[in-house]
Amino acid sequence: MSEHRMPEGCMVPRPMVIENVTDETYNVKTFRLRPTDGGKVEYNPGQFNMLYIFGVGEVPVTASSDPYQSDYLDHTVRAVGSVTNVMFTLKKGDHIMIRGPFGTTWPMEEMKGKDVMVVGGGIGMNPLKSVIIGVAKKRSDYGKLFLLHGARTPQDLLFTRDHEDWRKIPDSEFLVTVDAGDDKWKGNVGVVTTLFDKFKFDPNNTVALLCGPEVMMYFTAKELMKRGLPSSSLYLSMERHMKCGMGLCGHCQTGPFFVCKDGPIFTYDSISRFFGVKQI
Amino acid sequence: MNAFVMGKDQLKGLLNEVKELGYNVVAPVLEDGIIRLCSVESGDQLATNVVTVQSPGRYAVKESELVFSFTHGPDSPKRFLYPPLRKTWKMEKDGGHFELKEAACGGDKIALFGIKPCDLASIEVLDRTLLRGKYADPQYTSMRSNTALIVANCIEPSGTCFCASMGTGPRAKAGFDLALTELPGGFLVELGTELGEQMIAHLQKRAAKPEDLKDADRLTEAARSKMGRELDTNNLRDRLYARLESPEFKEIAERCLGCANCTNVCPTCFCTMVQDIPSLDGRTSERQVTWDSCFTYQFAQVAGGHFRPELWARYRQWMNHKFAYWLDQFDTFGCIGCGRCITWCPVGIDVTESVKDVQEVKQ
Repeated sequence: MSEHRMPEGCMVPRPMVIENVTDETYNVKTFRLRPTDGGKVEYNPGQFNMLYIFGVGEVPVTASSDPYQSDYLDHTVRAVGSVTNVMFTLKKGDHIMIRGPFGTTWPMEEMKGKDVMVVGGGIGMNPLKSVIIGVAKKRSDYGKLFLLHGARTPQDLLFTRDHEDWRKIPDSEFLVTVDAGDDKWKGNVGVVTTLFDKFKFDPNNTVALLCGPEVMMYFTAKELMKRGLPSSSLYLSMERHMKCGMGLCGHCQTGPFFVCKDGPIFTYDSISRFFGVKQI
Repeated sequence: MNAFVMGKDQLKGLLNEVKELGYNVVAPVLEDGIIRLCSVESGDQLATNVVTVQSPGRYAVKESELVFSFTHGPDSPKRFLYPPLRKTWKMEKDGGHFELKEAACGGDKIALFGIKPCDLASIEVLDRTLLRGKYADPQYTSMRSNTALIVANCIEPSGTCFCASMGTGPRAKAGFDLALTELPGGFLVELGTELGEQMIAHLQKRAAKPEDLKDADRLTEAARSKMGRELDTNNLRDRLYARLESPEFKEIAERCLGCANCTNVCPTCFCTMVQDIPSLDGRTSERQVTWDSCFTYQFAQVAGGHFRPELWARYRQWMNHKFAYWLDQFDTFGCIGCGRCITWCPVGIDVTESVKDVQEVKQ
């Protein structure tokens, strides 16, 4: 029998102290976590951790922090279920634990020299934030940066505190839209695909990264391909029920894929046979 | 391969010899009219002189002159190598300090005595799934380093068997310590390992003659045609991929109860639930891993959404996983043709029929 060593942090979670809690929207907060053991937290953009509230349970959440430092992790969380609602009661100085990082990464290396298009729907902006930080930090490694962000309402727009900084990234375009505006909203109204008429991109030199509800990613992918983007330049981040993060519990299966270890970041080509198949 | 013949009266002695080698021996026992796999103390507990009668939704045993040639009951090696409830760790919290109190380790040295060739194949499937991937399950890995395997080849398959179609039986070719084949005048004992040699060291036996081997070939070959079910596996994955949206899944789901019996008796279904069980005072918490099933409503549910809310989609997930997805994931079918899911389905849904039905394009 061959020897198998479990990578550190796979089964037993590691304690982290909450250094800071930031309110992002009415139901989204960012938790900055630092390991209590004084060690490092390395991860690549797109990878996720299982966040564990002691005695309550775990949830998979992609990190949203600067990938070029390894002192802390930011995890941006929406209060939707039993674990995340408890997480929302935690304050600076409280503890949570993590296992990870798990899963595949956004193609930070492969897209060097190319234009980068980031399309985030709602909380789907979370796994893309570390890409934006990463591209901005190594600006000369990449071509143009297109940031597209859609949300249901103006109140659901994510990382609004960062939007000013994002607008200042050289050689970039940042477009925002909401499904339904309110009295104060003067920006775009419509689903995220309506933004494609508002700027020009070179389909032969662009890599597009999508994250959001599956239906949003489905129509965004179709629209981009219609506009000439090769399917091989499309990447998406999938979400499924996850219990282990290691391809052992079986919950996240989508067709032949374990979203936790074969994903969460997939090339469109690899998953296209199953993407969009109802209840797959 | 070294082969011997021992008298039928030596069978119980063989079990006792394995016990002497320090193993927790798990063997077929007749309990409530069913062949169960149980941890046994002596060869006297062994089920003998019965065969099973199985059909969709039905299981019975009847007396037989054959001593040890019955097929399996609902239990499979999975129950022992990958138990229904496992503790992964226990932790104590004191403010910001977390202390690991217990961490999972392996179990006993287990000898699986008298398992069928299909079940032997199921262990190979679990090995590919749980210990040869990117991440290995540490408890399973540990259990597998201490497993002894004594196979009873099949000469009397049941009405729901289709191991011949899946290429996993009726005769085990490799991967065992010992393989028994019941001949008219005794058991052919084939040695797979040195451990197998130790098991029979003290038993009365004689070297197998060419005619003994021929008898075993003849009897196990004949078993192929006695199987109650068959399945055409040629190019099956692609045929199922072409029918992902077959309306027949909805027809099957009309009969399916979503009870998860099939996944519980399946020797290769490995899906688990991960749960945290806190103590009442909140100071300690224990992580437990229990068998789960893709048929349960909650399986693919997340807060604020559900990826497979309808039963037909859950049936498709299970069936396609066995016969299509598994090939992409682990380069083997997830089905070993034991037929348990057919026998133990309360409404007798026959997976070999389902596979055919979803491929049919109705006008």
